[in-house]
Amino acid sequence: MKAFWVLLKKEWVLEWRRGYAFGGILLYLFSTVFIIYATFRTVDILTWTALFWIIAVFVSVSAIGKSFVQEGEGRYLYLYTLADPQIVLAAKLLYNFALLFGLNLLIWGIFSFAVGSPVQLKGQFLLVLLLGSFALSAILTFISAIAAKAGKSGTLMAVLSFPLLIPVLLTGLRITQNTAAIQGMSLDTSGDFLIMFAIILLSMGMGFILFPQVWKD
Amino acid sequence: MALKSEGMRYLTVIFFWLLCSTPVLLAQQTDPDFMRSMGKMYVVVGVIAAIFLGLIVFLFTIEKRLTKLENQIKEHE
Amino acid sequence: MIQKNWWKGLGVVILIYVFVSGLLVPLKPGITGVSPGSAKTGDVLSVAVEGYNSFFLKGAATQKAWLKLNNEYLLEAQELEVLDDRHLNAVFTIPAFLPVSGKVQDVALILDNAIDGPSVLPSAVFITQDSIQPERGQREWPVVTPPDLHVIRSFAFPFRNILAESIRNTYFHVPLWFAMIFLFLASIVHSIKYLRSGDPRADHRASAFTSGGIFYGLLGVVTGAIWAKNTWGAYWSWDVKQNMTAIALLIYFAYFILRGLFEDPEQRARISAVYNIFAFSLLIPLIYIIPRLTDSLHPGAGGNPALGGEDLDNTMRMVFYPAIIGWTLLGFWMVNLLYRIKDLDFKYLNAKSNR
Repeated sequence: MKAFWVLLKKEWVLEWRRGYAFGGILLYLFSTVFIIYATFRTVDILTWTALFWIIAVFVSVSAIGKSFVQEGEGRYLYLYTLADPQIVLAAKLLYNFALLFGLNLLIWGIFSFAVGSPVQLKGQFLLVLLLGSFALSAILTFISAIAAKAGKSGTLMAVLSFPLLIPVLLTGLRITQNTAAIQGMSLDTSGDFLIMFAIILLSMGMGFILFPQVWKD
Repeated sequence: MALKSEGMRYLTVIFFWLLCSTPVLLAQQTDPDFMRSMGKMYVVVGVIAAIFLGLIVFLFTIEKRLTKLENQIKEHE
Repeated sequence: MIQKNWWKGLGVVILIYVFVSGLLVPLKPGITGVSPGSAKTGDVLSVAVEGYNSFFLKGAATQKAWLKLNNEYLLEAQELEVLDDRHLNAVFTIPAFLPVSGKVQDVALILDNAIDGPSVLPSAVFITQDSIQPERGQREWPVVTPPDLHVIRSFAFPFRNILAESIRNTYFHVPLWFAMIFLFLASIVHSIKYLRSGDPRADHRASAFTSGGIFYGLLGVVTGAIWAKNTWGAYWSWDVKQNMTAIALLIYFAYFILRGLFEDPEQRARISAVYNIFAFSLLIPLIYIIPRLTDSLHPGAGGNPALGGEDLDNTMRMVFYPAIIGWTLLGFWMVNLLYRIKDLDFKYLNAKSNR
């Protein structure tokens, strides 16, 4: 358990020591929103939700893509002696989840500032952001470990993860559109939340079972 | 060697797509009324033709791989 | 030889059965069209009916026709004139008012005789009314008293209007999807086996089964496109099931790209096995849960089971289930050839180019 906190702290320290990576993501975010504002000016609910989730996915892929690549060969070996692979994964996952949730909140904030926010049911939207960030980080953390093993991250990360992210994206979209609907017109989204839970459980469970296989060399 | 075999793979995939899309293209060329005549029986014919072409493509790829393997084993010995 | 390969022969025999019965068994009688397709209230409507595989002449003595409105009202034809086996004229006197409060109402046409049995054409005629008085209409339209329709037990496939003969594609297109899933499942099993044993032959099987699955998936897309064009009007209609299959294929293309990146065969086998299992487990919600949430053109949407009730009758089941087994066995045969080549390659050349 101690190793878990140490690793979590390590992620945090590393992120701040290499501040340009985080700054890069922020800049990416700002410039995308600027482009959207420059092209759309006003967006309807459908476009808003679609843009929101697409940006969230792209930002997540680029934020988590480096998660395992940044560990060089030497540090891999060191971590290997230090802790169980599951603990390494858990630490990465929790860190990435916090990072993604923060980024998603930021996207929401910037969006509301630049083009407004159609979200009516704020609680439900926060919940879907939370679950969506969790699902995204669970899938992407694992895929980034695989991509790091192949030695090529950028495009490979996208190729491997995009088809797997589509269910998260679609479910997130559906719930978000519901949160933007006029009060009383909203659909029952409990099924979508269940699917989100199923995706999280599946990806986390499979991740923890399979990660030792990726880890060992 | 590795690159060549990868290239071959993409070529085969492209070839596969071309061959498989022939029935679709043919169906596009032909009058839709023809496809729907005789109670749409020609739709079934088109589907079976596509499957048949697919199987031929499969035989073709197997043939290629086997020939390559035979040649390599011959060189090896 | 025979003891080892009996299942290949079984697959071929089953497929021969599927092809013969799937193509030769006739369709049940049906109605392909009526004219005119619209009428006004108060008309004496004479409709010319065109039948399919029907025997109007033989069954003329017992021939009857009805117009059915909303499963509630049933109007019998006053006069019937059989022209030949495929054509007849039916005369209906339509009451002055409709029993509904809409301006236009569609009614179904039902035919029945002792030879053909009943056949239905939904939305055959559209009836328009000028003034709306549902109460009067409810009095004037005869309420359904279930007519005794003739039950014909024949070995024939059902007639569906937009499908007609193309209903036979159920044995050539649909089983490809089932077989694809079975091949992917087999690939997962071998990936798990590889992770447990480290036997390179298990890896060959896993990748060969994936190729076979992709092959069937592509065939399914192509055959589905041909069928869809002639029933729904477009090759690709962004239907949920089509999208999901496209995503599944994307995942497995990614699997092969991943394989191509590793030089070390042991690492390639291990990492691709891991990706295979991980991706497939995420496919499960994708293929089966999400299509049920949204509307789909495919049967099985909206929560009703795909293989129940209306979509597949007992005659079709007798061909459809064997078709699934037959196509799956054929797929396993093809995969068998693929991984035997891989095994040989590995044995003689030590897997340098064996991706």
